[in-house]
Amino acid sequence: MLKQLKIYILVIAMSFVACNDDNEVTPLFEEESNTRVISQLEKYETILKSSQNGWKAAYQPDEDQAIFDIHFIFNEDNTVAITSDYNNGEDDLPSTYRVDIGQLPELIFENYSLLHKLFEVESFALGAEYEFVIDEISEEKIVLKSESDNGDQSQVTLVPASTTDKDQIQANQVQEERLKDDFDNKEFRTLIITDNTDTEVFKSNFSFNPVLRKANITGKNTITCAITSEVVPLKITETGFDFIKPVTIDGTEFASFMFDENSNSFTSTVGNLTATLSGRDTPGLYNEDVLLIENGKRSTYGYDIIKHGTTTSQSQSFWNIVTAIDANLLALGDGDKMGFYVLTVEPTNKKAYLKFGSAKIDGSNNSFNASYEYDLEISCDNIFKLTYVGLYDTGNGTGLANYWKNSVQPLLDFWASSDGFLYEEAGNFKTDLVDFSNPAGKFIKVNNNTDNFYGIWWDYSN
Amino acid sequence: MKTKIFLNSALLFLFVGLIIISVTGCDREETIEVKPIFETEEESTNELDEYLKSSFRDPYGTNIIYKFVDKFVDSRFKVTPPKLEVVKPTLELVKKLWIAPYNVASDQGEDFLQTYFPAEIVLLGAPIVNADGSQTLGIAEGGVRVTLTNINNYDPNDEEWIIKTLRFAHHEFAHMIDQNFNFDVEAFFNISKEGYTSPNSWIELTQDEAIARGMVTNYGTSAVTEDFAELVSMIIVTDPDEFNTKFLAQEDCTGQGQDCLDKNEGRKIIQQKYDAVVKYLDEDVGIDLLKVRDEFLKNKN
Repeated sequence: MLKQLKIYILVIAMSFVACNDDNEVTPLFEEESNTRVISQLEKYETILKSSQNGWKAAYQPDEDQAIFDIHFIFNEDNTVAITSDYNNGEDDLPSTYRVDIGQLPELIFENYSLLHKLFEVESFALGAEYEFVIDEISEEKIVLKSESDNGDQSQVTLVPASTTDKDQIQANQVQEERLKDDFDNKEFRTLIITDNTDTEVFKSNFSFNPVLRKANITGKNTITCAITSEVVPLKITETGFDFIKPVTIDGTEFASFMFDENSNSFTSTVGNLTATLSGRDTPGLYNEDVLLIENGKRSTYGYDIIKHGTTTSQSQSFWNIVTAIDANLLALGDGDKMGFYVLTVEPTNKKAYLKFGSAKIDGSNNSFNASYEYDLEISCDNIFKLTYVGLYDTGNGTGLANYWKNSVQPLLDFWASSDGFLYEEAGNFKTDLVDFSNPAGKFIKVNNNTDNFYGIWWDYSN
Repeated sequence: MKTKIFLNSALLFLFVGLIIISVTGCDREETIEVKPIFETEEESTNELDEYLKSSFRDPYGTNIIYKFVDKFVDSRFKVTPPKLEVVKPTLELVKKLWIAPYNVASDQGEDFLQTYFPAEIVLLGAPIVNADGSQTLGIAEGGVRVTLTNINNYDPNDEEWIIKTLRFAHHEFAHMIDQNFNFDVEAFFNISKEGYTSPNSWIELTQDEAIARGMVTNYGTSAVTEDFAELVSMIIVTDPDEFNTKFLAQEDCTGQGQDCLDKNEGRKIIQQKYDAVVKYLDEDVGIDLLKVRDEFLKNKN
C-alpha cells in the first residue's frame, strides 16, 4: 500500500511538474515578435507612402532586357498609381498593393497593371516580376528583389521622385510611339550610316519589337560586304532612345539617338559618322535570295505569255509592257505579238542575255526570236543590276534584233533599270494555266516596288 | 478490506482525476495555437469590396479573391491577377448566368446556393498554360474553391468569351455538385468506358472524334468526372436545338463515310448520359438542369 501511495504521489508530483508553464520566460524584447513584425511592416508601408512626389525606378528585369521607367504613388487606401514610358501608358492600370511577410518582407502588386504586363509578355520572356522581396528600405531608397527568381535575383531600386519625374516619364511615351511608327508610311525602316562625304558606309534593316522594347539591326558594310545582325534592348529617353549597351558598327560605338522632328528620323553622330534611323521606300539590306543567281543556281528565267497565261502573281507593270510591245509589233504589220522572253544570266562572265520571242496574232505556230546583251552586276548589298550593251548575235545575225529593237524597247528598258532590282524567290511557279515544280522568282525595281516581274526559272538547281 | 478497497478506489479516482487535470491543465493554446500573423484588418469600405460583401459574402458566404495571393495558385503555374476594372462586370455575369439560373431551378430556391455555392472564387487575369500546351480556364478544389481564369479578356460584347467563361464556371460547379451529392460515377463510367482517353492524350482528339466516343468535348474523354462536368456545362450553355443537332439527333449518313456512322453511335451514348445526368440532378440534387439552361440562355440575351 505504501509503495502504491509513493507511486501515486510521484505521479501527482509529475503531473504538476508537467503543468509548469515554461512559457513564462522573461521576453528578451518588450514586444512580442509578431507585434514587432507588424510594426516593422507598418513602418515599411509608411515609407512607401511618405515620398511626397512618389517614387521612380528604371526597371530592368534582367541584364539582357530593356529598361522601363516607372513612377509609383503608393496611396493610403492601398492602391498604387503607376505611370510608365511603356506602351503609351495603356498598361498603367490602378492596382492594389500589399506589404506582407512571406519568408521575408515583401511588396506585392495585387491587381493587373504594368508590372504584370511586363511579367507575362511573350511567354514571360522579360523575366519581369510583380512580387518583390523588400531588400532595403529607407526614405532615400527602396531596393526590391524579384521573389521568384532563382539564383541571382533581379532587383529594382526606387528613389524619391522629383516634382517633374512623373510628367517626364509620361512625356517620354511619345518617343516609343515614334519608334513604333511607320515613319511617314514608308515601307521600310532602315538604319544607315554615312560618313562626312554623305557616302553610305553601312546599310541595315531596322525593326523594333515594342513589346520587349528591343531593336533588331541587320545590315551590311557596303565596302567589305560584312553582314552584322544584333538584337539590342533599348531605353527610352527624353530626346529619343539609348542602346542599353552601345552597338559597335565598323569600329564606332553608337549609343544615344535623338529624334529630329524636321526629318522624322532618329540620328546619332559619332566623329565623322552619322547613323540615321528613318523610313525609306527601299530596304536597307535586301534579302539574300539573289545569291542563288550569283552562285549559278538560277540561270534561265522568263515568262511565256502563250503557255503560262495570266496569274495574280504577275504585276500590272508587266502586262502594261506586253500591251505596249503588242501595239508596236502590230504597227510593223507582220501579224506578230509578244510570245515570251527569256533572260539568261552568266554571273561568272558578268553578262546577261535577253531573248525576245514573238507569236502570231492569228494563233499559227510561226515564232521568231532575237537577243540583246547586258552587263550584269550583283552588288554586295544584294542588288541585281543590268546595263544594256546592245544587240546580240546568237548565230543568225542581229538583223531581227535590230528590226524589233524599238518595238521591244519597253522590255529592254525595264531590265536596264538604273537602280537595279531586288530579287525574291516566290515558291513553285504557278499560273492560271500551269502548276510547275520549277522555282518562281520576282524581280522588283529598287526605285519602285510596284514595278516588278514574276517569272519561271527554267534552268535551276537546288 | 472494504476500507482498503475504498482507499484503493479513492486513490485510483484521485489518480485518474489528476491525470485528467494534468492533461487538460497543460493546454498551451496560448502559444501553440496557430494565429494569423496580422490582426484582422479593418474591413474595407471601398466600392468594390462593399459590392463583394453585399453580393457574395453576405448571401452566400463566398469570398471573392481578386487580389493576388500566391497560396491560392499552384506555384508551378505562372499567373497574373485580374485588372480591377473587370472584377465587378465579370461577377455580374456570375450573378446573372450562374447564381440566378440555379436559384430558379433548385427545389430549395436560394437555399441551395446558400449551402453549396463555393466558399471561395479566385479570379485570375490570364489562362493557366499547362505543360501539354493546353490552357486551364477553371479549377475546382476540394468542393470549396473555384478558380476562374482569363477574366482580363472580359468584353461585354464578346459572346464567345462570356459563354466560354461561364461554361467553365458551370463545369467547375458540376464538380462541386458531384463531390457533395452521391453521383453514381461507376454507372456513368460504364455507359462509355471504352471511350475514355487519359489526362495527357485527350488534346489530340477533335470534337467529332469525341462525339464518336460518346462525349461532348475532347476534354470530356480525359476522365469520367470531366465527362460529367463537360456534359452538364454544355447542356447549360447550348441552345437546345443546337445541342440536339450536334450531340443527340441521328444524322443522315447517306453517301458519307464511317466517321458519320461513328458519330451517330456516339450520339446514342450521349443521349444515355444526357438522360442520366438530368435524372441525377433532378432526383438526387433537386435541380432541374433544363431550367438552369433555359434561365442561362434567357439571361444571356
